[in-house]
Amino acid sequence: MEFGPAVNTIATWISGPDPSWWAVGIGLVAVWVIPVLAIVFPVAAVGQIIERKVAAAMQRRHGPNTVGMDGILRLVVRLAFFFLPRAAQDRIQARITALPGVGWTLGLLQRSGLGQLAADGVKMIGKEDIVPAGTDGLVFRAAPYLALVGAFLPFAAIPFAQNLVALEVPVGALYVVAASGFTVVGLLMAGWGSGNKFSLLGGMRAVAQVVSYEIPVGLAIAGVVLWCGTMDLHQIVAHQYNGQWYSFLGWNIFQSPFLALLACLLFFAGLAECQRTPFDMAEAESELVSGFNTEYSGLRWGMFAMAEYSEMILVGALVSTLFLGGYQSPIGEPWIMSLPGWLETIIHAGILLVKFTLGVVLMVWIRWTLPRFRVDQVMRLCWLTLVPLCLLSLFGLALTMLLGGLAGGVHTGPAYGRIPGMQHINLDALGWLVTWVVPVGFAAVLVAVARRRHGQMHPALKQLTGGA
Amino acid sequence: MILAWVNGIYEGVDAFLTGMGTTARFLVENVRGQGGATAVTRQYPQQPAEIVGERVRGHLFNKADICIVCHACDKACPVDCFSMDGERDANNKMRASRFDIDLSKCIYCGLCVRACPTDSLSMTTGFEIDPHTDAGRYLFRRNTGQLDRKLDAPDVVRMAQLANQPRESLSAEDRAWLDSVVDPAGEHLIGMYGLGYFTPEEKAKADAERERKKKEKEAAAAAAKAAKAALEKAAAEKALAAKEAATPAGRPDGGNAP
Repeated sequence: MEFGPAVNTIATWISGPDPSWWAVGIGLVAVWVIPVLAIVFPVAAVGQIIERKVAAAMQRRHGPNTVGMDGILRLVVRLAFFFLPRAAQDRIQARITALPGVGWTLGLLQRSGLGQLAADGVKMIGKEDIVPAGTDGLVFRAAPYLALVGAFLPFAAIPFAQNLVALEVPVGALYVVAASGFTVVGLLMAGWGSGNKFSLLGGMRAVAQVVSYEIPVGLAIAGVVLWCGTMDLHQIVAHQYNGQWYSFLGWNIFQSPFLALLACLLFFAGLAECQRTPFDMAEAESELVSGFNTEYSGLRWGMFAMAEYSEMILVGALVSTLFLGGYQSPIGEPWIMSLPGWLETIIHAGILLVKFTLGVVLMVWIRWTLPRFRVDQVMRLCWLTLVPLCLLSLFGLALTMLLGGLAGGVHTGPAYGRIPGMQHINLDALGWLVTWVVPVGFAAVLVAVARRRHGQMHPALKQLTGGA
Repeated sequence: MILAWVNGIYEGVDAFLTGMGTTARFLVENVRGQGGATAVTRQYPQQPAEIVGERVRGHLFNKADICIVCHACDKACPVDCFSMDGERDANNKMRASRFDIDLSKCIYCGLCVRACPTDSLSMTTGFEIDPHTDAGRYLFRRNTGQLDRKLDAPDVVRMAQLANQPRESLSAEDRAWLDSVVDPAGEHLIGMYGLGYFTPEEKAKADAERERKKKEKEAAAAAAKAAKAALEKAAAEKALAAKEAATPAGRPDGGNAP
């Protein structure tokens, strides 16, 4: 097993050259925890506000717009000037608010709902932690932690920047899928430990759904592994670098229509793994009260919410890493790579943040568009649509590689950072066009024929609706 | 079979994209505020209602001069927000001497209005109950001196309508009328009306006053009774004395004894 260079740097800094195992462990945890604490955690928290604001806008409501941060400012002023009388404190606060920009910022925080974040957090921490009678105590208590662990472990292998990656394991893609499987154990334990029929049903549904949808996720990742020839996520990122200023054309999603399709399939299967609408069978509140987390309150419930949003980010980050060039910028890399290390890290992590935040927003958008599937529809979608499409894409991708390799051979791509150049299928512009036009044209013809054959409205329905 | 499968996928993707387009359009319209598509939620305390439906079930109003204090509303009320007392008037009709509606309990179900046999109870369109707003202050804060001023139903409706608008936008006449009816600076927080507005203290005061009047009346009645009794006693004594005077003096047996 290999660790990222940052891990080794920290370990060497702690216990000298040839570091001992505990120093490596400290470095590993540090490099794993830093992006999780600095990037994932805030986005997961802000994600809830994003969700509420987007949902409100889509339903012509306002969303959270009342709670602001002026209470926090007041608290700070009270603490900082505790020796002054209250009237003087109020005057100081008024002065601070009147400073240019401060009042505007406070108003923005209030209108954007970010102040609600602090209020919700304080409320969640302050709530009573109820463990109902009849629960299986240990299982009930441990479940949220497992769910959270399952949501946070995979981030160890996601490359956030050149050096900001804790685990550079050769089986990184597999590791992510395996580690995120922890979550389902947490959900099942929550359902079982609650001693509640609805919770148990929710937990069982979660297991059935997540285990099923891991197959399309695995197949979609297998497609990328096939294309890039490696399972190391960092090498997959490096493989997508084409060395030009228009480096977005090197991203996997633009390489082949099959890869683009696999990206969509991975996104939707990941959405189902997050247990979010339209796939939220596990906490279908119209059927199961609140499913597996019915009996949870306070911080334990908050852990489930945090796990859900972290998983959304994980899916976004995974799709970005596998298909959208990871932390690479779309307009070439040399201008970033020539910067000092810390700046490069910040810029690259910021680019990945933008990419997975777009994924999260897309998930929120989907949630407030689609109604919930039925249980059997969820299963049918997985087994009769996603899995066959994944297999077809894999087959098509393999065929593309075979024919492309036969026609153009392979070439070694540009080196990226500390990763040497990797093998690419040698496709010139014409070959690239052919890889796109042929499958898309075939699909279009197939769809046209299918529409002609099956897409007609039933005559009775046509008569009723006037053919609209 | 494969064609049906392809068609199903096409239709699913098509419907999905249509739905996403719809929500996206809503989002953009709402954010940009186009075509009257801004958020339909009114920010309640800052933006009071402009249009209130005619049949809105708002605050209760009791027309005290036709109320017969039958307690039908009291019995119909699921939350016990009524408390009332009655007295006979000069025509020996039962009339309310006290009719309190605790609007902090009222759930605006309207059962009392249905139960009322004389149609003295009705619901106005006023709904403002927050005493921190102008409207709530107008509706619920009154001076002790205004306690006995009775508002008829149209007045209450007018008051509710005026009170639901910002004070600055009222005409001078309306404002003067409002101020004559209610005291915006009043301190009374719990609204009860029908015969008057009471705070708990005011209610206690009014109850004490009523008790005092009742005691006075009882005392007067007792005094009258005592006077009457004294009068009767005196009359009886007088009659006895007259009877005694009628009989022969010194001969209690009437002179029949041997």
